[in-house]
Amino acid sequence: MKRMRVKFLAVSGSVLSVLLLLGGALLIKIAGISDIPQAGFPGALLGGRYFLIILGVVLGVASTCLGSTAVEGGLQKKRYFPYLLIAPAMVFLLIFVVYPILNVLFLSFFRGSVQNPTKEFVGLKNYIALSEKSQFIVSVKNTFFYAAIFVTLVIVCSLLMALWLFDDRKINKFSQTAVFTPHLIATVSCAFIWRWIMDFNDYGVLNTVLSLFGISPVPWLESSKTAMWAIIVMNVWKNIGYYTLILIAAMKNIPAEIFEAAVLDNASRTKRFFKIILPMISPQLFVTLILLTIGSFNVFDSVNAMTAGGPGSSTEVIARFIYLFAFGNVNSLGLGCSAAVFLMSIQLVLTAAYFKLLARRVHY
Amino acid sequence: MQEEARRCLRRFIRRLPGDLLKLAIVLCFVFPFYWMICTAFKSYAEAIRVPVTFWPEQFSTDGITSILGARNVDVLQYLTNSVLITFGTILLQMIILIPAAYAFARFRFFGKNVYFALVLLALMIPMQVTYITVYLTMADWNLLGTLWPQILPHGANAFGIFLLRQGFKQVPDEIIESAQMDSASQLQIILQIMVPMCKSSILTIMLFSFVGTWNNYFWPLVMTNSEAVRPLTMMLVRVLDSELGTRWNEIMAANLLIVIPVLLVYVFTSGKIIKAFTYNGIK
Repeated sequence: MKRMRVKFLAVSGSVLSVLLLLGGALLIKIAGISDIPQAGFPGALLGGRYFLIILGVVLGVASTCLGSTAVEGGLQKKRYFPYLLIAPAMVFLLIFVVYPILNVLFLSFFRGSVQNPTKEFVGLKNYIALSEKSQFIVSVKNTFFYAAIFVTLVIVCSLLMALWLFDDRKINKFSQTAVFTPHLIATVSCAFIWRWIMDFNDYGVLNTVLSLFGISPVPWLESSKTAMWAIIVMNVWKNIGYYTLILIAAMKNIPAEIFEAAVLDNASRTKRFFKIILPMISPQLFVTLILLTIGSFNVFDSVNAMTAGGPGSSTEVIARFIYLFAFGNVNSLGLGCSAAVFLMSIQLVLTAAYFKLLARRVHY
Repeated sequence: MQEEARRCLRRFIRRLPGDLLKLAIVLCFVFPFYWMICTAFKSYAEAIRVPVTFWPEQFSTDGITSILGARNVDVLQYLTNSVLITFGTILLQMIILIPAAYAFARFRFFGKNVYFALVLLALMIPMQVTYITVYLTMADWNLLGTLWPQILPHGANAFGIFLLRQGFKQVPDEIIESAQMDSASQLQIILQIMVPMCKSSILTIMLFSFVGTWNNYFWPLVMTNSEAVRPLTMMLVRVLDSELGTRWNEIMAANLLIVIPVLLVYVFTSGKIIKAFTYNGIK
């Protein structure tokens, strides 16, 4: 009973200290921008603008100490040792992940540049401007188009490949190695190779090969109709091998008895696929789907290296929009930040939705 | 015996169409690399000649020599940067993630789940979102002209912590307990028991880091503003943007420089790397 009470106290203390730290960070930020004299507030004696932060840290340390007494088991003598072990990792995560997330949210309410990120507070104006900017809307559309086609193609193709290259034969092992290779190569390298292959000039090798089959030259990267497809093809080519290997590994984990039983029951191939293989590999398929979808919204390297958003803006994507506006244009850092917040929210919503929708259907 | 041979032959014929299709697909995946190497060894005139030659008629090292010296590109600088960034990142990650993974795998402490959730959060948030702030932070710290902006932000390898925690959990309790009986310090336990027992996990993480850092293009693009601190992937873009126009044999030669180290690692660790990648995909 006493332990429960101590734990409750420690947890509420920690929550409060996190809130204090957040408030303190905001206070420092705002104090850094405005010219409000700091002497008035809690007083220089109590740390001035750092008052809330100091309070938060003290409260955090105190609650952690308190909470540590309530943890049973483990190495009791070394109560504070694990904190020492995770401290470096946590410091890095705070500086390079947590703070950037909060800061990007903060900066999205300002108009500014890299030199002076918080030049002028504009409230929600960046978001409104974003929703009216045709370049952004096109980028969002293109990104969704890319993500939908890319994810579908990769999932379908890698499933087919996995079924096909499943058996333990030399040629399959060799094919797996070959198909996997592009995954290790830099996206820029692949992008440049494909750009060279898809060259529209007479010496472009893809069009040369296609002409052998009587297909007239296609301006792959120069036409707004085909450019996005060319990028999708490159990315599918690069990623298929990895997911094929994951799915093969998943299929290898299916117990052999289940297959033998199915063969005894004279189950057809399609039936075996839909009733055994698919349900049995669904956890891996599910993870693959989440990783692929989240990843596909970040597409940048291949687009930047193959088309740089062109022709026109037919291959502009969100990540490139953020890049262009955050660093490129004058005083549009906030606009880029608001686009980054948008990108992050899409990914969070999608992840949550996937877990909700699919988790129930997945066989574990 | 004859029966056996006939069955073999029949099976071979039955499988032939499928196997040929497999080879065709393999060709699709290998050809781009072949084409890169092939172009790198052509002269510029031959690279853009019509009809296309599928084997360099005259082996020419024009592309390679012009990358290595004739052109105004300091390859050695880019290469050193790439090597320093890659190994610096791997070293820093190891120093940070081994203790963290050990704590998450072996200790119970107040707030453990929250701290671990932080690690998982880092796995989900893309660098396309975080880089703006990281850039501003690096500018504040006056590090922009150095290699640090390309090393420090990748210090906490969330994926590595996650993976190594899994490995550390599988080390039997008895081994650690007996070490403690022999009054081994925690540092000794980590360095002399945990790390050797999880060698393959650690190697996997290092391989991932190597491939990820060596191939990174986005991060150097947004974090650097002078050629002096840029890695090989950025050299590629510079060769493309040169005033001489798009000289594909030179671009492919530069590409070789990026691809070959990774391919060499792949060849030497072929089975292992495939196993590592697939094993991790499942977890």
